[in-house]
Amino acid sequence: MLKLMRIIFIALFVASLGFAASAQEGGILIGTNFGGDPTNMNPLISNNTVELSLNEFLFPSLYNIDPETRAPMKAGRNDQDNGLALDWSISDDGLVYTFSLRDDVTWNDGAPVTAFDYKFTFDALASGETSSPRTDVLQSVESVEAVDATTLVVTLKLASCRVIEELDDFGILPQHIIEPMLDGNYAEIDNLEYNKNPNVTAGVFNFGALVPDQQTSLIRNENHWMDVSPEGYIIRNVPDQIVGIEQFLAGEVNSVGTAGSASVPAVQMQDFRDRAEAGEFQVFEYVDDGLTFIGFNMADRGNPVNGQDEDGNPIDQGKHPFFGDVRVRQALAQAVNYTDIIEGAAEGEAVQVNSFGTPALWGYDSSIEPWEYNPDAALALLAEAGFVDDDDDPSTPLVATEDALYAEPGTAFSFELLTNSGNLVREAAGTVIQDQLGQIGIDVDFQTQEFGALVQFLLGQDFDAIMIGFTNLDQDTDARNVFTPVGDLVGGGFNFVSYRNDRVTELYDEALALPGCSFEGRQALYHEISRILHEDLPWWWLFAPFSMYAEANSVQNWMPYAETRYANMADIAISP
Amino acid sequence: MIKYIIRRLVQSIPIFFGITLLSYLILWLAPGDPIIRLYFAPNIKAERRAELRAQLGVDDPFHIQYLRWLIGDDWLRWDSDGDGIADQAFELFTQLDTNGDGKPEPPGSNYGILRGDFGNSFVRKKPVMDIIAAAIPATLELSISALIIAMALGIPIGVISAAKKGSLFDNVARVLAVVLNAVPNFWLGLILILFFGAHLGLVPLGGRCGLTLTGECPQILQRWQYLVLPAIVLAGADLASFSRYLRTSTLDVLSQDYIRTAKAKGLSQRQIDFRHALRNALIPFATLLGPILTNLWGGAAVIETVFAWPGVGRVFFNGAIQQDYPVVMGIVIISAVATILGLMLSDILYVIIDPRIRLS
Repeated sequence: MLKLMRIIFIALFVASLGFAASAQEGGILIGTNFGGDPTNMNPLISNNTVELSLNEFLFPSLYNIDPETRAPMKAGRNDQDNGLALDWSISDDGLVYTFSLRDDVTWNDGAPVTAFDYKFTFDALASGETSSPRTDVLQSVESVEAVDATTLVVTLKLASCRVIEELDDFGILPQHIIEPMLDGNYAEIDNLEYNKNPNVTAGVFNFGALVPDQQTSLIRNENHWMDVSPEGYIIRNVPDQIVGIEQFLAGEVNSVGTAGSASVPAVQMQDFRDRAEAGEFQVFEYVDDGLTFIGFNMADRGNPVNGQDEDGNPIDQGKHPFFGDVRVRQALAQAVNYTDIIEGAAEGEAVQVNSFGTPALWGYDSSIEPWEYNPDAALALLAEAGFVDDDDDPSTPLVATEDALYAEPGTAFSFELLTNSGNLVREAAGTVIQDQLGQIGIDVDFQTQEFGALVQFLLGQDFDAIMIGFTNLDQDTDARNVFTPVGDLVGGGFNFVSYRNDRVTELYDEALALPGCSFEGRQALYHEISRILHEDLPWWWLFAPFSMYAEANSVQNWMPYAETRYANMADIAISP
Repeated sequence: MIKYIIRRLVQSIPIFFGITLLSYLILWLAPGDPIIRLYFAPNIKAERRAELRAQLGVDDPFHIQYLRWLIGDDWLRWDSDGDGIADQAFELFTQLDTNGDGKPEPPGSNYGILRGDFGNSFVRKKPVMDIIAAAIPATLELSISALIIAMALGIPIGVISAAKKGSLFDNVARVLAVVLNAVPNFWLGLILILFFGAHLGLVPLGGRCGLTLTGECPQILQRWQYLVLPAIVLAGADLASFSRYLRTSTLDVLSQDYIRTAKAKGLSQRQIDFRHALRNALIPFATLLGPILTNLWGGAAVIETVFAWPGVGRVFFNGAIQQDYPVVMGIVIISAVATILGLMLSDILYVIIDPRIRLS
């Protein structure tokens, strides 16, 4: 037995000495993902970041997004373009869109990609029988018709300037492969083996293999008109962000995150910056298209009801004793030092936002001055709103006087602030806010909740204030589901703060149906909405984080843009 | 013996149903639902989420969801005339027209776990059994490797500690056993990954196989380096338990008369320790067999997650995070059955090994 033990010890020792971590294979792009496997690569129903990343390389889209302007781009503009639409026109009444598609794109089995494929994909979505979440487009589109292989006609029920974006919200499926599998039943799309093994695609890569909980691979499509250099693209499934970073630093993978996500955490950004400057690897930074905010519940949390009835008439929702009054919300917005929040919680790797959106979005108005730290002004506003320090003891909360609009006189200014547990940035930000509001006599009961529980409070409108974040916001910042009564639905709507401002609703409607859909015209309308939201503070605008891509030096000719990591895939080469 | 086995099996039935009911209830009581986790975004409307919830059936009351999972929807609503449309139903539990469109649907294709249908994963959209079956080889590979390490080291350490009671070896072994039992294995795993993987570059930072475009995973001997750290960490706690268990058991045996007789006959200490003492000391060890078999199946969830090992434990962890009820319940049920059978096997083995014991 002792001999056996010796042998095992020696074997383990030799094993540990004998191995050197293998470097990545030459010519393969390798990223990491810690959000689970891509379980559904069908572009109609895929949903999470890694699935959408893969879709980008596998399926054709109606058009591509210009990486610089983030606006829809017609095909043929440059050789990075994988979009089908060579051109499109809009009828005078704004109700008919006619697309001319290119005729030289084929599926990897040789069949051409046509307008019929797009119509088939759209009809599947319109059937309502699939689990696709991308049904926004159905609100405005009446029908999609393929006149011939290269002409697509989209007829709208009502003019919508967002429809051009919504029509490209999903990748295109190969009709000749999928339709025979359905037996006339679109619901079967959810259960296709194709969703896990999309063997007929039309992107720069073909699907390779999915090894559950380990990796997903794509292999270069040798027949694609765009001649890409990397042999393939592997996304390695890692248990968490830290492991992904360590694998990158150890040379096991050559990029951090997937094509669709930048995963250098804020706490390591400065280190990555320094090491990139020293030539160890490459980084690219940008302001993210998501923001962190605190939602103020403006209605009576004790009796949550929808914002309007079925006919669109307002319903009395009561008022929150504190946040029902805009002066209180504005006072809070001046009661905290945003530098402290950004430095203390986000490691300084974020920018304060002034309204809905982030500087990465064209609908965002960067000219609006964000709220500034001014505790004296905050206290003055609170006094005006009827909340005063009745005992000259700053350690006790302010109390409501007769002047308070919605709080009973004598009510102590104390509220509950919730966020999701495990998000260290939000937990730290909540602590800073709790501390700074405490200094002016506002008692914050800061609590963290498991995400599922938090969402129940949020959508149930059963909260005082809630800190959360949204990512992947749309470029044009149309947020009617968030800031108009149509989204004020208890249990499911995203206007969970019960905000109502009829002027904002009008402006959203105007931006949606603007004749000609001019970019400048819509931008001006969104900027006007931004100014109102800035003042009204349905959300307490906090910050938008910086994002950072990191690539090994072996990834040559890398030219990323914000939200578009591999805009120039045709130029990228991987050195061994 | 056969009567005993039959009685134990019969007793296991209510235990089994109790486990299923409690487990499903705990999952159901967890806040949120899989749809919220999958589709939490402002551009997805409440109505759409409600439709998706209805498609998965997670908007049904608890008892309907549980019964559907247990016995299948075709036993709740059935088609008596064979026209493909459900025409009878236990109306206490369900309706003929389940989607409320005014027309009855087919009986359904979920047969329930009692008939071996574990359902489909909400997230992966695959049969749960396929998902579990794909993960079992990785789990067994890791668990068996860890068990071999734990037994190969733990048993001799326990015997030597007993034979040299109070010696430096014994004291060091006892302290190390306490440390190994006390240190959380996820922490130890992370530390070892950082040191041997990130710092020294001696082993990969997780995974089971190297990355390839085809997704092939070679034979274990060609990728042993991926197994070393997780197997050692997983073996740690068992190693400590085995050595402590064997030490106690051997000390007990060494005080027996027949050991004194062996000494009196002039046998060497090694012969006494390993030929006479060890064999008898291993008898109580049989009681550990049940828990060991259970651990082989489901004891590595944390380690698999830390080391990105694609086994059943990781499937379970991800399923729990995503509230993928069918996946979680599938693994819970198999674990429950393994535990019940493992413990019964322990009892039976004990009787076979030690004829002084009788089951009644």
